[in-house]
Amino acid sequence: MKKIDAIVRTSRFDDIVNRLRLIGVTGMTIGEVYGISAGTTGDRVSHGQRMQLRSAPRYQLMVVVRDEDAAQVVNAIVHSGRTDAPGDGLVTVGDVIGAMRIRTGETNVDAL
Amino acid sequence: MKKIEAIIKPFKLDDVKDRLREVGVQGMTVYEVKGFGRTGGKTEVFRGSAYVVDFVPKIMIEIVVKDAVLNDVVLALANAAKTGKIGDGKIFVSTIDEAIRIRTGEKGDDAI
Repeated sequence: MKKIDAIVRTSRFDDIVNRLRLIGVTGMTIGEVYGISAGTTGDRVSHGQRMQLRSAPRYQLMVVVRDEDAAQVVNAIVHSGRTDAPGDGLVTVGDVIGAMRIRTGETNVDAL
Repeated sequence: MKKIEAIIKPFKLDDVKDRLREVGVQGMTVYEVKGFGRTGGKTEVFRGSAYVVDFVPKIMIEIVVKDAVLNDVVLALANAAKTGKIGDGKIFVSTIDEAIRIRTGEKGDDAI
């Protein structure tokens, strides 16, 4: 199993979730996070006023999927999350060695 | 070392925390997250293509434990978080390569 962590723009969030549901992702967890990167900090001009941006709001998406589905899910997130402007976010993939559904005690792939 | 990530019902947090302390877990990190699973949340078809997804508030607990106590901790967590109803959540386990206690610089098992 693979755990996919994606930091995405709040404005792209709905599209990403819809896309993931369409390709068959049955569950995910969302956190509200703040991030700092070269593309999201610095001076920004808004309504004629210069503002210093120190951190930018982002959603963190966490999905655990079967090994063979990981590439497709990553593609879907990248494709729907892209605006081509700096600050589009980052997708990371890590190994998960075990999973359990709390209600039934099912383990590993059955628990997904 | 192993990292346990558990997504649980928010009102179960106190039970889970007490139970984990009983089995010797000394520290944990708690996040307020939102999510949906296979049966949780709600899917509606709107004008044929758009989906409306209801995200349910959840708590995510992150614990890093020594390999030797992994099973005990996972079982304790699962038992404490279980209500038998839909939406009890999931537990994921992954491998951690390194841990460092920032204050003292201790590494590995000593740091957790």
